[in-house]
Formats: sequence, C-alpha cells, structure tokens
Amino acid sequence: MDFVAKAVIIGLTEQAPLVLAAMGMALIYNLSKVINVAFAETITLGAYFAQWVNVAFGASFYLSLAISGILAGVLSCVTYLAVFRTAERRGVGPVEVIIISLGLSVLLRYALQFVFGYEARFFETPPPRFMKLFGVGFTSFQLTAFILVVVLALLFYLFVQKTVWGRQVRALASDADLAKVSGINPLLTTLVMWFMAGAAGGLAGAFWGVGSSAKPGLGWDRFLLTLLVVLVGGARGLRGVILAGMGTGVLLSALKLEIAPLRAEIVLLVAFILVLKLRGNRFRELAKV
Amino acid sequence: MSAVWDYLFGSPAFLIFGTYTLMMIVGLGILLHLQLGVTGIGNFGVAGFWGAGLYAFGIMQVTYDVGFWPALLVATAAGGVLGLITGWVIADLDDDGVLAATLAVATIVYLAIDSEKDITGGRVGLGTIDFPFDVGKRTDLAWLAILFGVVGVLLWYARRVHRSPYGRLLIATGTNEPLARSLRKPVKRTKVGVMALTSAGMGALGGLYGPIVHFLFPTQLTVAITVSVITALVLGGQQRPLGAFVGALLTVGLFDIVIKLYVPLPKDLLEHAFPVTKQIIFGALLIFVLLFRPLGFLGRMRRERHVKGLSRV
Repeated sequence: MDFVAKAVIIGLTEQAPLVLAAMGMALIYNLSKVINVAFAETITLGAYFAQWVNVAFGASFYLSLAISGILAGVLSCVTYLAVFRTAERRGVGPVEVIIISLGLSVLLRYALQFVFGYEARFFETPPPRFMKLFGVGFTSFQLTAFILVVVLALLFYLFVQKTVWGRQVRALASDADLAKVSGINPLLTTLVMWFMAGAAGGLAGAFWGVGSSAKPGLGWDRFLLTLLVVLVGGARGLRGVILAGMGTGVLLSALKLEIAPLRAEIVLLVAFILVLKLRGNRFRELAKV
Repeated sequence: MSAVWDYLFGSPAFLIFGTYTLMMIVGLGILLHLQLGVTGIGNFGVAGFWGAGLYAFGIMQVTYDVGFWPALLVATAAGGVLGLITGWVIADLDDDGVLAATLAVATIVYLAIDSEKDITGGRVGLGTIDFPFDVGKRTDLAWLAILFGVVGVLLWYARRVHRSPYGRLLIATGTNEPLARSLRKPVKRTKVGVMALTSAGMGALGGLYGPIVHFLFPTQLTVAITVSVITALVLGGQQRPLGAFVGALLTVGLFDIVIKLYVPLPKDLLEHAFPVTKQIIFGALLIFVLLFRPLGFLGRMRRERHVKGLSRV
C-alpha cells in the first residue's frame, strides 16, 4: 500500500505536465494526421516565455503561465501557416512531413539560443512549502501544478467534446470534405486547434521549466515519452491520452522506486515498444478526437 | 606554392579529423539512403545503431582486451541485431510508429550506455582505443584511406542494389507497399532484412570511428548525428546513391572543413555561435529542400525521369 501510494503521488505530481503536452500533440495528430516533432520546441519555448515574463516583468508565475500559453499558441499557429500548410498544399508525403518537422524543431531549438542565450534560465518564485501525504513528501508548488494541470486538462477535454469549436474540430478530423460542405471554415478551425495544441504544449513546458529551468533541450528530452503516450493512448481519444499520460507517470515512478532511474526509463521504453508492436497499425484507424 | 600548401594543409590533424567526420556522414547517409530513399523506412535513430557499434567495439577493445577484427565483428553484429529487432518491430507500423520506435531504440542505447557504468564507463568515458596498426606519423592518413575504401564499397553496393532484382523489391516496397504485398512480395521480410543489413553497416562504421576519437562518451551519440545524416541525404537527393556524398560535401564539408579551417573566425564565435548557426542552417535546409525540391540536388534516378508517379515524394 505504501509503495502504491508513493508511486501514485510521485508519478502524478512529477509527470502531470506530460498529460497536458500529450493532449496538445494528440490534437494536432488527430486533426492534421501530422506527428509534429517541432512540438518539442513549443514545449521548450513555453518554458522560456514563462521564465522571461516572470523575471523580466516581475510577473507572478501564474500570470506568466497564462501569457506563455498564449504566446506558445500563437507560435504554433505561425508554424502551421508557414510550414505545415505549405507542405499540405504541395502534397508532401508523410515521412517527408516528419522530416520537415524535425528540421523545424532543430531550427527553433538552436535559434532560441540566439534570443535567450546558451545558459539555462531560472524562474524567480517564492520558496515552496513542503508537505506530506501517506508519508510521501512533495512541495506546495508541485501540488498546485498538479491541480492546475488537472483543471486545464479537463477544460481542454470539455472544449473539444462539448463546444461548437470542438465539434467542428472533430468533424474536420473525421471527414474534411463533409465538414467543408457543412459550412465549417477549415482554416479557422485548424488554426483554433493548432492554437489550443500550442497553448497546451507551452503550459506543459512552463510547468516543467519552473520545476527545473528553461533550457534548449527541455522539450526534446520529453518528446519521445509524449509521442509514445499519444500513439498508445490516442487510440482511445483524448480520454485515452489522459489515462495513458497518468499511467505512464505512475508506472515510471513505480519503476524508479524499485530500480535505478535510467534503467526504469529503459524498461518503460521497452514496454512502449512492445505495445506499439502488439497493436500495430491500428492507432490511426482507432484514433478519434 | 609553399604558401598555398601551408594554407591548405597547415593544420593536417584538423583537416584529417574533418574528413573522418565527412566520410562517416557519407557512409551513414548511403545506408540511410537504402532504408529511407529506397525502402521508405524513416529511421530517425541512426545515432543509436551507429552508437551501438561504436560502444560494442570500445567495450570489446578496452574492457575485454579483444583484438581489432573480433571487436569490429562484434560492433557489426551489435548494429545488425539491433536493426533486426527494430525491423521486426516496425515491419507492420505506419510512419508515425516507425518514428517512435526508431527514436526509442536510439534513446534506449543512449540510456543503457549512460546507466551501465561498469561496462561502458558512463559519463566518465571509455578508452583509450588505438589504431590497429602503427605506421608512424602517417597512421591517421592510412586510417582515412581505409575509411575512404569502406565508404567506396558501400557506394558500390548501393549502386549495385539499384540495378539488382533485390533492389527492385526494395523500391517496390518503398514506393507502394500495399501493391507490393498484393503481388505477393515478401514486404515484411524485406523490411526486416534491409534494417538488419544496413544497421549492421552502421554498427561497423561506429566500430571504425572508435580509433579516431580514442575516448568514447555517451554525448557523442546525440541526435545531431542523425540530423547531420538526414540533412546530407535530403539535400543531396534521398533517392540517389550519390545523394549522401553530395549532400555531405555541401553541409559537413562546407561547415566542418572549409569554414572551420579556412575562414578566420574569432575563437569565441567558433565555439558558440558557429555550431548553433550550423544547426539552424541544417534545420532550414531540411524544410526548404523538402518543400521546394523534395528530390534534392541530384533529383531522381536517370532511368526513372520519364516515369510519372514512381517516386514516393
């Protein structure tokens, strides 16, 4: 019981941003059928934007979080219009789109070093309080981050499932031609979705960044796990992504309690590869927003 | 005359190391051409297969004191076995699954090297690895000649594959997999086979890189290797055996040899801004080439120029 409680509490508090990031990536994947490697940099830039607003303007973390989400959303829309829409119009193949997104990822990762510098940048937040639950220690900040992530994930989920915009996004993902005939503006709907996805990625980056620092490899270091959560959980829609994200966090912390952290990550990746192998190509067919 | 000679070859060690890197990227690019350009397998974990060979070679030489040839054999086998397993995993996956699986394999290799310190040395490093022969001051040049020979053999093999029935099977698999399957071509076996064979080649190239760097660190296996190889191949022409060679000359050759050695840049610029700018240009090249000239500098094979719809791109 002690072990389970530890795994759940550590897993959920430490990996909560993973759920947000995976939801953002899943939105793009399910609508545009694009695995956007550059989403890693949306995460990274989310951390940088939040840190910049927090330090340069003395804004509280929560205000910088909101601004960072908006800026990351705008950046996501710009990348769609400048790169992915052009690729779509020119009929670029799926592998080539992945390579293009890899190129965009590399470009952004290194270009941001010219803007924000080569060194890691730290947030200026008041020192957190330490708390205990079932004998497991965590900070007040981790708890707040977890609650915020849950609320934001719920809002994203309700937006996609219950609002008119969400229905339009889902209609466009299911059958683009039929959606256009029904009077849905594909460009506007796609931009709304890319904005939401970027905002989710940026917020995740800000949460990760405040826990450590904003640095160029922040998003890339977490990209693979986010991608695997999307591919495995995405088969059951956004709910599946949320569950897979939380499950991954708990499993990883459970493994880390038992074996060395690096070995735990290896075991988790092997498990994901086996799931990929067992479920084969059914992800895309099953994936519904 | 002597001034020109000094200008061109005044820093032979740097020139030789730059050429080693160039040849390594060309070799890996030719193998990636067979995977991506011919068979349509988007391998985003090149650094992992190469790194598996590099470290297998290093462990054999340093930890177990094994001779050069058996160590190189183990390096090749390490890359091959990893490729075989990866090929089995990705055989039924679509492009997104292949991206995830190949990236995951490369990450596992990196994490394993970082975590198993007793065998790999972890972040402290593993060394020293020496050349298998000593011909005095010209040892590094002799090794470069061997590397040229190996890359030449790989190029010759890739060109042979294009003209062979096996090559047509690979092209059919890469161009239209469902059609190839409906014609009863062994698509799955073909993909597993090509992954195993080309990854073994990547492992062997990793082994040959060991004596060049002497000391191995996990940080040598970053995604930058994969990005350099993909950029070279895409820029040169992913469907042409010579594509990687031309692309590597235009990228690694220009940045790591010409600019680094012959353009008088301030030291501070060379240490920080130069590598960052290089990566920015590589990223931009990937985007622009695939959007506006998807078949790269060399275009498609001469024999395919009049056949519409043959290319995947």
